[in-house]
Amino acid sequence: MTKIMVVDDETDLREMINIMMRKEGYETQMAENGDDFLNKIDDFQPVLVTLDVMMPGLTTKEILEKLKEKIAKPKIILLTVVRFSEEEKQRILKLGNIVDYITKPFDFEQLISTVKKHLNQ
Amino acid sequence: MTIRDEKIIQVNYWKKLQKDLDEVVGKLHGVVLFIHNSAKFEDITDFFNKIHPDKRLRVLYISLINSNNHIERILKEKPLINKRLHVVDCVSSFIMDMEDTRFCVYKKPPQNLQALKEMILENIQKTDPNILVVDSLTQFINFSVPTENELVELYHFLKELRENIIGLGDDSIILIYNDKVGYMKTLPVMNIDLILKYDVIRDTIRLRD
Repeated sequence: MTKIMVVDDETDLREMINIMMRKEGYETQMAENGDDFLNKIDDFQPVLVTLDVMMPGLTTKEILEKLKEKIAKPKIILLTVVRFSEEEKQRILKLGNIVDYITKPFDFEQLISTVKKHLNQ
Repeated sequence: MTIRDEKIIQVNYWKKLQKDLDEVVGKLHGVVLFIHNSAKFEDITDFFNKIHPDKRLRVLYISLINSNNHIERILKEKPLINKRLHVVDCVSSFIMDMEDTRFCVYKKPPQNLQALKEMILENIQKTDPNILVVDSLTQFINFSVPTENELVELYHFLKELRENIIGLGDDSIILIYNDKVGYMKTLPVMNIDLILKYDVIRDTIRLRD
């Protein structure tokens, strides 16, 4: 079963994404911040991660830096409320393992289709 | 099936200001809660341009939503008239390495209203603005489901801002709130002078052959 990790500090959203992913047949694990994510990732070994950009604690930049030391190398889809310029979006897509970028609020169909696209499903 | 009684939680009266809008916003003063349903910065630049259009003003914009680069791109298309924007970008440095410029400083986002107040006061000393904009308050409170504690903290925050910022001139504090997060069941009643609601209605334009 394909493993996906859902990382978001908003409990309701995290759980909603988690339920949707399970309904799609993925095995999931949740993390509520960057530290929690980094502590769990090597045990769970996800193929793909949905990562909220603005969480308390570690910044996304710090998370990506620490991720380099981990065994797991998942694809990352960023979820964010932030409005970046097109030029910045292109810069972000070159960072670490980031493969896509979704602006909140989003609909779940959009998220699922983005996940499937990057899992070649 | 269980039948439950419905209870009215809140009744809000709205007055449409279409004709008087330029007059009200043109002379804006005090603490303003600006509610809107659009997440786009370009949609609110029109509102900024209606504020004291005949005066040169400095605007301190605390951004918790838009990156400075995104704001600059939009202002090239839709420039602010007679207003100099100083941005505190609380989002870009979360993911990219950024360097402060003359008109923008990069910070981590404040985690609560107390930290936001400290950030505001620090940057007011540096920029001496006439208008302070916080975009958006949605990061700190959801008026759909506010707790009593959150409202008390908000009123305390507003009171302190008012005491520290509002003078006799054109000073305004504009707190932007995006009501896309949910229907507003509670409106703040203390330390706010004006509540404006800005509805952006979008439709698909069908072009004829």
